[in-house]
Amino acid sequence: MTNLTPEIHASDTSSSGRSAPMGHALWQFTAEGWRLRKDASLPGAQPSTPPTQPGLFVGQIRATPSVAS
Amino acid sequence: MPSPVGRTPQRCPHRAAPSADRVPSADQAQPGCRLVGGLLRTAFASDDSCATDAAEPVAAAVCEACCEHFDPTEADLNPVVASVLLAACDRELAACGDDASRDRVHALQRRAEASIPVLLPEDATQPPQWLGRERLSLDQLAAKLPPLRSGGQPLDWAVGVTTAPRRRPTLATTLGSLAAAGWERPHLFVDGDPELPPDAVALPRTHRQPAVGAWPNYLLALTELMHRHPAADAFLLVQDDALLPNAPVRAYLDGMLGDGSAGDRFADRFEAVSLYCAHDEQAADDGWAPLDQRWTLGAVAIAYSRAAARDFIASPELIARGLGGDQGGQRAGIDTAIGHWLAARGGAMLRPTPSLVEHIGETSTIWPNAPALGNRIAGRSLVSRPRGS
Repeated sequence: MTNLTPEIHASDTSSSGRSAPMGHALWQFTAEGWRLRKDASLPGAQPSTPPTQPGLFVGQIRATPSVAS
Repeated sequence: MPSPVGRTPQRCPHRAAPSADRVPSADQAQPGCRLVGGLLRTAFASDDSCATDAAEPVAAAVCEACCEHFDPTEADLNPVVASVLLAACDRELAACGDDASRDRVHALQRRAEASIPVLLPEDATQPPQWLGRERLSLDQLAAKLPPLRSGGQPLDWAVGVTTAPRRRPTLATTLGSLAAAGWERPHLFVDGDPELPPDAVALPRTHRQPAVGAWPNYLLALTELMHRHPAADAFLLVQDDALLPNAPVRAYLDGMLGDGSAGDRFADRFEAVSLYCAHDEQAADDGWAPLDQRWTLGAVAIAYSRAAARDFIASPELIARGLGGDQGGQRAGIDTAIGHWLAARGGAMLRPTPSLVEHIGETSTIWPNAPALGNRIAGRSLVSRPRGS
């Protein structure tokens, strides 16, 4: 049976994985490395540095939490 | 070693040969993904100019990465399928798409983006690499994870396993590893209606239906364990996505936690002992040590002394936690609740480095979009190591 309830956001919990209180950025792995695909940072924030490890395949997309600008 | 609950590209139900005109000449063996192809076809159905394939060509590395995640469906994309889908949407939108299909594709893109977990730049995106399952002796186990002490007398254990529906069931793996560790007949606390593996059906169990939620199930499980086994020395509550090493863990913990005195034989100085330690809370040195901050990461497998368990189930704050009707923070956040309770007692969680158990759940039963990645894996444990290390 699949649990398809919507994502839960809670401020004082740890089980929701990495939090992204300042928004997030999407990175796409290309032949040249990680390329910023989308900046969904909140005002006053900016994308973090790109992922440190190479992607598993060209086209892989990762999301990182944004940081204060 | 593949994931203990893994599938393979060869057995993937979505695998298909791509259309002949889309096969790159340099790689005739490139497989196709029918799941992505089907989603694209549906999205572009109103535009005859878009000739999307029934199967989206993908590299073999994509299939291998995908198979380490849960089995994706049209309604439930895993991060690898989401990546492929986003790239395919980009390509098709650049080539074709009427207004109606563009709206559908944009909705599909938003859903795909939401299926990609937020991880720190240095976090791995794949589950850790599983080590072999060769049997470790007690001495070998102690060499890999030095105990604080040894020679304690065997404890009387009361063991429970909490379980609930998962996209990728792990209960059978957990029960198998628990049996190999020395606990063959735990009590199952089933929340909702998961499909139980054959080994689980024969176990004593309590079934809560309809589901009460993860936190109430946890609190009720510990309460019931205490009522069923009032004379037990140690109460071990394990979640259904724990993987213990193939080793005599029970004997190992007896030696470390049993103090040999009459009555409560769980050594007084240990109140709560986590067999799991998340990557972010591991110590610099190998061995067992109290966490010098509030426990927050992972109620995967925790042993309580009888005194601590009694205090836990009688805690007004913990009891009240499940009464708010909140489906989020109050009915989940088990680890956080334990951390608050323990800190209020002035206690500290004893935890191992490397972790004695690994967290193998692809997706939490509590947090549906929270994969066991980033700060939700041990990374370095007796059953796994970070990929690439």
